[in-house]
Amino acid sequence: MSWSAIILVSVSWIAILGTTIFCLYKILSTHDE
Amino acid sequence: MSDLKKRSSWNNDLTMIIAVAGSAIGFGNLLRFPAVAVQNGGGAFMIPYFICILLLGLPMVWVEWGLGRFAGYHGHGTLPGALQVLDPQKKWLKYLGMFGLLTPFLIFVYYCYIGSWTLAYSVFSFFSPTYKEAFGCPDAMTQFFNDFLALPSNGCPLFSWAWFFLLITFILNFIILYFGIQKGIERLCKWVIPMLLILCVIMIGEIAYVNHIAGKPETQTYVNGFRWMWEPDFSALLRPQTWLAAAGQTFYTLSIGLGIILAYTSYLKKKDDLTLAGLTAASMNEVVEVIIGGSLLVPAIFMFFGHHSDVILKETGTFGLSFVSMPLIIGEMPFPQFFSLIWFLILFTAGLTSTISLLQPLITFMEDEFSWSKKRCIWVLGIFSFICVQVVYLFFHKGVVDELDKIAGTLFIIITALIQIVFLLYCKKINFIWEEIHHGAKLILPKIFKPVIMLVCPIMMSTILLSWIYDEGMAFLTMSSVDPEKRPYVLMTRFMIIGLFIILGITIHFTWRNKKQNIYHGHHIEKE
Repeated sequence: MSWSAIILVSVSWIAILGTTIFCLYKILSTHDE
Repeated sequence: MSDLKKRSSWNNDLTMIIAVAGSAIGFGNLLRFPAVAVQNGGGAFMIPYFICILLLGLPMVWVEWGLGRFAGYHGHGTLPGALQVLDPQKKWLKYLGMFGLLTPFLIFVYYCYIGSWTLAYSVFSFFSPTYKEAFGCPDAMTQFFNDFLALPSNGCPLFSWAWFFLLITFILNFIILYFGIQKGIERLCKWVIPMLLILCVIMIGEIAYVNHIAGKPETQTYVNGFRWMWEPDFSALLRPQTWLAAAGQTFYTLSIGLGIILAYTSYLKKKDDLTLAGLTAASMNEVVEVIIGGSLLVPAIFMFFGHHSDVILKETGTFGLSFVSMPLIIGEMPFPQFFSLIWFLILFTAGLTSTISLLQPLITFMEDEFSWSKKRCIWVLGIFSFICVQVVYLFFHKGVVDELDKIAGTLFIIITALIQIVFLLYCKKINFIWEEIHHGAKLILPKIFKPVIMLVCPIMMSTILLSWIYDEGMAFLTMSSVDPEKRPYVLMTRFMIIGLFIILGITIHFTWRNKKQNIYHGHHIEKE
């Protein structure tokens, strides 16, 4: 597998999972306020 | 505002986010995205796709959430009312909102039929000997699928399994809707995330099992499947079609231009967070699409079919992938009947959350504008849509579904989204919506998104629309790309859509006229 494929997949996964975890954390942490 | 009836609201942010994500997560995420990505540069497709999500998808999601909540304050949850409250002086604006009602309804009438196939296959998993026998043979599986969809050659066309499951699915949609956003949709959508986790486990199990099938070529490994999906072809970035495909997939996946977001968000309160909720719903959607669809499902298909996967993804399309290829892969696993049941139940649930959402704009419209009870709205819409669904069932093989998908699923969603953004600009309400989006927001958007909403979104959407007109406009008008045998049916579909526009236009006209008269009489009686 080429480096470009690895970089593209890694960046996509990090961006998507990072955003989802950040959003869910932010919602749940402020849920009771 | 005193004459407005009290609107119901969501129990909490999270259930509403799950409902919006559930409406957006459907067959398109799991099956359409990998096919589009493989055809448009593999891993390189992620570059235009992320750019489109960032510059078109997310800004439009936030605009729809803001517009929906703003319209909700004024007692409207659909596009005709939302456009009218943008500028009450311009009476014609509300008629443009017809797109926001018809688009989801037209998609519902064929999506409901496709969803019913997944329910049928769930049942066939255990109760159809022919289906079980077809597990090992691609030709037999294709034949089984074609036989299932064929109308009975003698006797009443309604006495078929396809019609029976359509009826069950149709009734199920309306039963869930009957319980309303407080119960039905929330409860159903709470199942979406556990179901998707089960899907992940099945996919991983499938990959591990298929890896050990005897006689399988050594090249058909998970890593090769992953490479086949993600190896970038950067030359694809120079083709305009790649960018258009990325923009189209963005619309499709985030449910932009369907009127669903407007209907759901019109039930939000002023203190609710729009920016974070919109971003969460979009990112949950991407998890399903890129991680489950692109990184688990497609490599699993490759491990089974090898380089024939190319043909399967590009030529058989979503239907072939769901109802022929996947049962064949599942057939190779231990307990195939059980896994077939789970696979089709997951697809059915994903489809059901989408079809219920597609009906929501018209229900909301009738509740808001006619002040009808939910029960009455569901009965009226149920009877009307039942007739339309029969047309789809009877003329499925005559190109009716393809035509509805082309008109509503491709053209109208872009027009609906474009109408929203253009008339926000025309009515000089961009600043207003920007502030509305930020009411109660825990996440403040970077200011760069404001010019993106004002300039980039309308330019990108106009480009998509114009390129569609340039590429397919003439062929669409002359029906040159349609099989001559199917042309009368395609024409019938178009007349049906025009008829629905006329009915809806007249309804909107008289509804607003009656409202005006009621307000006038109300003032008159008060004076007396």
